[in-house]
Amino acid sequence: MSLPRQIREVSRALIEVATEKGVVAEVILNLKQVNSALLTSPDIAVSLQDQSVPLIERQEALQTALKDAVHIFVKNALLELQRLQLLNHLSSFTEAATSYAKSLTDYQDAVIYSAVKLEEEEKKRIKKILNKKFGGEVGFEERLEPGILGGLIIEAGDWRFDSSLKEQINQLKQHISA
Amino acid sequence: MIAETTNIVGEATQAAASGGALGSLGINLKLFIAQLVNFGIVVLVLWKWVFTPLTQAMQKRTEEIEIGLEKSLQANKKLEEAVTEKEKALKSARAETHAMIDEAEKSADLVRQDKLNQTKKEIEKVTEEARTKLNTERQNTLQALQHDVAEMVSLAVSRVAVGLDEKTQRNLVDKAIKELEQA
Repeated sequence: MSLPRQIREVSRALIEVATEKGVVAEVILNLKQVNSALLTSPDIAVSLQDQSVPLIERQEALQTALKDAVHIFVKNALLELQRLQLLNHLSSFTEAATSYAKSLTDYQDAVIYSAVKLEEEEKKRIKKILNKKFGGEVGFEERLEPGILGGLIIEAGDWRFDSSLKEQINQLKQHISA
Repeated sequence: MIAETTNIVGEATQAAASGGALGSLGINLKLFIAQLVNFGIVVLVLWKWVFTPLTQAMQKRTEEIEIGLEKSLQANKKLEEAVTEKEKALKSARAETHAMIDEAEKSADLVRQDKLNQTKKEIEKVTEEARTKLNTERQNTLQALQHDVAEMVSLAVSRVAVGLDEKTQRNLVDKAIKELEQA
């Protein structure tokens, strides 16, 4: 199914301006976070697009909800989607933006699994390493996964890095079994 | 007879008395001629009816004997030939028999060797199968044991890992980041 033209245009414009400022990864991450939040509470998206409420009030409500949690570019893009009555297409918008980021820049999507919440310093170190590794900006999403027991698992496209305690236990198990 | 002899003596006496050279030797010519004729007749008779048939009979007998001898010689020769032939045949038969026996012995040896080889192979096969089975069972047991040990170790470590403190978790993350840098 083809995306509405406005979604393609807004997502492309967002990625282009984010590329100029070097904040593609942050923008993509913010979009994913907002999308995840709206998927968890679909009523919010419905309320934000309720045409019985004047647009200015709905936009104020959206700005209040976002506060400073997201980059200004993301906030503006979401307000534009709200104006176009396309907030319910936020998943498609996020996917389109990610796709543009990959095609227009060296952006790489990654997911990091950890047993405990990562500290900011740890995230910076990981981001620096991944940026160097992929030769471009890497945006990553952090997911808590106590099942890995400890350490990290990072997935980016077909590439996978597994330094989890669970994997090490599995390797030990295989080593003993062999 | 005495009378004849007396006559002959008388005649001889007369002849001698009558004179001549023969008479002086006491030979009566007439008598002598008569005796010669008698002798000739006797010789003729003997020649005709005794000597000639006897000679012929003897000749015939000699020929028969010679023929018999010849036949005997031939028979002997044939006998010798037969004996030679028989010996030859016996020799040949003996040689053939020996060859057959040798062949049979060789065949028997081959069969025996084949049987021996087959038996050896079967023994080796059975031994190998038993060895393989034993190894497989030992391997299976070992693997099962290793699997059980691995499961136990995995379970024990997992249980310990669930309760790791914050510091240890941070160390694990730090170690992972260092590994990521090396990857």
